[in-house]
Amino acid sequence: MTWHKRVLRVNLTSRTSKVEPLNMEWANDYLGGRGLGTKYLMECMNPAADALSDQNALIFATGPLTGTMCSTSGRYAVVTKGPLTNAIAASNSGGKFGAELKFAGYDLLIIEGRASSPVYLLIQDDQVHIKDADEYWGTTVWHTEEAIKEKHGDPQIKVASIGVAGEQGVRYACIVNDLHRAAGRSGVGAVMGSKNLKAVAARGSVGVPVADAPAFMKVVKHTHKLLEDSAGRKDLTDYGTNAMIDTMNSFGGLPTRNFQDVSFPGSEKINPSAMTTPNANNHTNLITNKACFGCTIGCGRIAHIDTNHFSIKDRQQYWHASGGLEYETAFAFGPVLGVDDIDALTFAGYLMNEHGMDPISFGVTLAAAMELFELGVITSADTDGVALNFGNAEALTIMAEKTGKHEGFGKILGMGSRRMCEHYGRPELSMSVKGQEFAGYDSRALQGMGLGYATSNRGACHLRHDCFAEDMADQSGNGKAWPCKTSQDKTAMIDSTGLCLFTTAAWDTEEFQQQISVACGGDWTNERLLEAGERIWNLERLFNLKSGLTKADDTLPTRLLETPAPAGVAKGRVAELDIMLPEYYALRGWTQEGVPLQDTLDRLGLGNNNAPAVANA
Amino acid sequence: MTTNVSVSLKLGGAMVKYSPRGQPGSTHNIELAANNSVQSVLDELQVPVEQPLMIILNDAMVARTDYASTLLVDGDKLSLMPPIQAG
Repeated sequence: MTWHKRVLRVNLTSRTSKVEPLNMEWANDYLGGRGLGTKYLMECMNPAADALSDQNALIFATGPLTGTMCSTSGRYAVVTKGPLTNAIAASNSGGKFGAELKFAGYDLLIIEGRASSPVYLLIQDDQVHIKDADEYWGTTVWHTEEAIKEKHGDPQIKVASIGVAGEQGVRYACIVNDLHRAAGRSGVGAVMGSKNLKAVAARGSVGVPVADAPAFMKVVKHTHKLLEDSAGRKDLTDYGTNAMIDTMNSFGGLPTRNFQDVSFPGSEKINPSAMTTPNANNHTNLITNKACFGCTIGCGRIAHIDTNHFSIKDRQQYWHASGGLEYETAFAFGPVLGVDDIDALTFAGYLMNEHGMDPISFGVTLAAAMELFELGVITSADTDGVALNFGNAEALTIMAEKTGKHEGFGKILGMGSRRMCEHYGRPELSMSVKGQEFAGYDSRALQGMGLGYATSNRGACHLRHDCFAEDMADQSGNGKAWPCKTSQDKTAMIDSTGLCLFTTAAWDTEEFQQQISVACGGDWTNERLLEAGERIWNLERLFNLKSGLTKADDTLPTRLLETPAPAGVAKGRVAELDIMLPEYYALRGWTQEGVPLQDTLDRLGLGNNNAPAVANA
Repeated sequence: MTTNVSVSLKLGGAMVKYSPRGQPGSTHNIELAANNSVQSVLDELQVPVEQPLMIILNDAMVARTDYASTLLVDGDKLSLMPPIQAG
């Protein structure tokens, strides 16, 4: 079977490590990745502990299919308590690092305690070293990754690291691997920084066994073909996720100027067409696409910035090609800030990868700052002389760099929008849930998305559910609870396999069941997999309840609940959470206070988890 | 005398491959004879039936079952977009 049945546990306080057997009962109940990482986290720490204390644990969790020949088998999860949200943080990444950790012979890497001075981990199969990182502390992700490879004389080493943002506790600092893939959300990079852990470097030579190799190859060939023939997959390959910006703009769900509007005329200057059209200097933004380990989709973009652009004109270190615009970066640097300068957006994306920050949270935090500025709550005296007006492309690039380097007003932006807006006495301007900033979908236009945002265990997230088809067909909140709940369970399962969500362009639960069955062995059915997803969801909920979150955190900002959408397909609508949430809680088998009933926990094998105030119906 | 209607056509994402007469860009003005439907535009642009897409006409979604019966008038804004999906 595809688990190595080995967990590497590192204690940074004592600078020791040990290998322990993987708990196979847990692996069968939670698979790997997000699910198994959450189970181990619950056992490692008290959920009430401070996220930036040495009591928090940081878990790198591969899935059973990570590193196999399944398409998109490069995924892994970073699971911890999120400093942005004080909730469970399970952040998913691609690239090549996850597969390399699996090739080194480990299903999970658990990091506990705090080093007394900066360190990095070097994992080379059975050889595990905790090495001094003083020479890298204070440097960028890009420098760190290349320097570690050079130091050890091996360009095939895969590195996951943090920048100054993570070192300094920017609340949405992320962990970047392979230069421009990231475990992006909830501030997992700040947890790594709080442990004085600069990087994890992995190099492996162990294969990944499967239970039934001939059957496995047959299933892999079949699922590859399904993806190859899929029109949705082809669109992702050809246009990347940024194709969504045209759709959301036309639909009237594109958050603009801190969610004050729902469409942005400037989107035509930053859409996929703009990425492939030469500008006045005959420069074309997009170079090619890029795939993660084992991926046959290749949704990633590789781009370069016009060297005449103000942002890099005299800075040759940015003249190279790197990660290009995806939908969320385009939204978070474009419409939500009112900026339509494609090179400024691309440069801001570079800075996110170089310094290790979540572009969604940075962009929406800057949007809140821009609204504060235009309202006169803050002035140029507060913002280092920079005019934070909507539409100011230079302000975007300046503040992205300041935040990454933790300088000046960047320190304020690094608090995240909730803490920043509370600091200035305007909490209602933070477009976030549980402290995590919204992605590029306005929930007045997409009601099921709104329910998903409000109930996501890690705060506002567009990837925890999939109600898109229902939301396109019906702009009301009616009937959205069921597709939200069922898709949340399915997504939790997929996030725990080691494969990518984008395979759902062609695959359903059946295809995951086939691959898990032949790779892992054992008796896997669709129902068992979806039940695992539901179990994972409820375990995350228990973590959050024990951390102190309540029903009051399952909500949306006042702007979305009370100010009607000004235009678009959903013109005049507000987010109908009051209709959807009670039905959702009931479907979940929870009380109307959002607490899982004992019967629900018992059915899922979570009955001994001592949930706060669990009651029977 | 037949009166033509002028319609603003927006093509998002992958839909640009159906651009009228292969013209570059994602926004076009097209001239149609009166009483043309959404379906007739799709036929003219050679959009295959199996192409996943969503259609928005003047801020309202057009269901697939209504493509043939939804007629276009002068000044309409017609958007052909890839379906909404995460990214």
